[in-house]
Amino acid sequence: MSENGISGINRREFLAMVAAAEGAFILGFWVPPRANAQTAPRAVWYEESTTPEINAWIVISPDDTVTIRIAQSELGQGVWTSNAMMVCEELQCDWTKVRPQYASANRDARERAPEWTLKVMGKGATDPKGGGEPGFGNRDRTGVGGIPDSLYRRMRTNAASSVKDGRYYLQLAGAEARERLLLAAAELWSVPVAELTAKDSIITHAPSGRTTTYGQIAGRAARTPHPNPETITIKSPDQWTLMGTERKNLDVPAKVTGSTIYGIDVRVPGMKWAAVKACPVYGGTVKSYKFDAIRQLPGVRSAVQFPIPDPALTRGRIELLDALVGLRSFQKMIKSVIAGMCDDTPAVQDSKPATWQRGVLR
Amino acid sequence: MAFDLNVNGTRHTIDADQQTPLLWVIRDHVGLTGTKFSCGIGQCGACTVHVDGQPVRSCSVPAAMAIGKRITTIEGVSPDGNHPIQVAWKEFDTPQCGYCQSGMIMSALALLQRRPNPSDADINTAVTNACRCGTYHRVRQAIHLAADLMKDGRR
Repeated sequence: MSENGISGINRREFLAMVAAAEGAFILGFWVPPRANAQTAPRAVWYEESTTPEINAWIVISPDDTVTIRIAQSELGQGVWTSNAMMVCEELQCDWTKVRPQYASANRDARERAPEWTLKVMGKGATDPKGGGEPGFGNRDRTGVGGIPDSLYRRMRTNAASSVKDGRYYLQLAGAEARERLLLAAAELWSVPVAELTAKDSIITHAPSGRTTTYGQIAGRAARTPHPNPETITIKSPDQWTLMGTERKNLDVPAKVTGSTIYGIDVRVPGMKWAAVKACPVYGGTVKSYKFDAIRQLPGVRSAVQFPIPDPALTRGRIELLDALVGLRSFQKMIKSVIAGMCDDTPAVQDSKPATWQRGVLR
Repeated sequence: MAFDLNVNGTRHTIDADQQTPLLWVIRDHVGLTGTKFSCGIGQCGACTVHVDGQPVRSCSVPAAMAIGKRITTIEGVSPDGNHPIQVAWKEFDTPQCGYCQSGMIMSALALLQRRPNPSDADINTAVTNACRCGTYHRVRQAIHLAADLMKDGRR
């Protein structure tokens, strides 16, 4: 995928064809290019109106539920749990009340990361308390292959790097929030912040015996900036109490009830399905297809050829996507589109709505 | 022409071709998306539901086949996610990506209802669902634990 979302060319042309045929539709793999996203009207759908966030990663509800936003995809590798543990280690909240939630890609595209996360990683600085830093190797630290300066620093999920790349700024996110919760309590009680301790979502002022909970102080903490967040340090490995322990995976309960939302489960008003039929032979291309025959299949709205005009841009790999894209109403099934466009399916052998020609392997 | 289906104890009136695969009626008309589409040819088992207690690969049977019968999907296994088989699944952190696991659980549950103390050979024969993450060893452990929990108890 290029900077333009769908590979270079033809996104506009492709969308225009589709729009002419069918009106609005959504392709799940298209993301807005950043330049456009920054000038677009500000969206507010991700903001929680009743519960203010402490920082972009952390929302604490009055009932002490801690929502931790995760910028990586949970694919069974446990990243919903490991990322949340790194935040929780520093936040020192009650682990049993942690609830993971996907971070907003929209917001990541619009907002820059807090300065205090940039000083630690991706700018060459290292944690003064040691513990190593991510293995950048030959990667550009702040480039696409490094840790970008967008809000959640790193939204991709790849290269077994979610934990080792994310540790510094995720621990920092937890530490920054913890410090502000403590500051808010100190301000409320008019006591020095150094006299307060935080453990399992409870803040204690030992000299007076007073306590409060994160949930009770969160609203105040959200309005309490840290005077000098760049001085916040993170725990070194010998201080960890949660990280390094085994915990139940937080994504599992939803997966045993069928309530996890996968891409195929997303429903958006007015949404249509697009099904791609590629040539069954590597490097092959569409020779011809019968637009009317395909369009008359039950539930099918339209079909478009989806060529990639400049193989040089894709190192010769994307001919595989020289394909037909069928659009149909969501009540109908994908399978018959595929069957309808596949010339070896008995039911449509006679009509052969699409034929292919073999390409030259490069 | 509209027809009625009983899904998880609730009657739904479906306005669709009765030859529509049961899977798509469940997902798109009833609106229960826990049951998954994967291979589309009845091989992988991700779409497994129960029809009158029997495990059925819903991508490959017409909705007409389930008219007048009781359909149970993953959403109907328990109201709170704490059926013994779900407790067992959680105990071993059984799913990874989880996409196949609704069907895996439905196949395993059908086995346990028919054979409360299954051997490994019984599991191999009855639970033929495919899991690309390769969770088979934990699925097996979880089925044995679920068998114990179901014997102790309640459902």
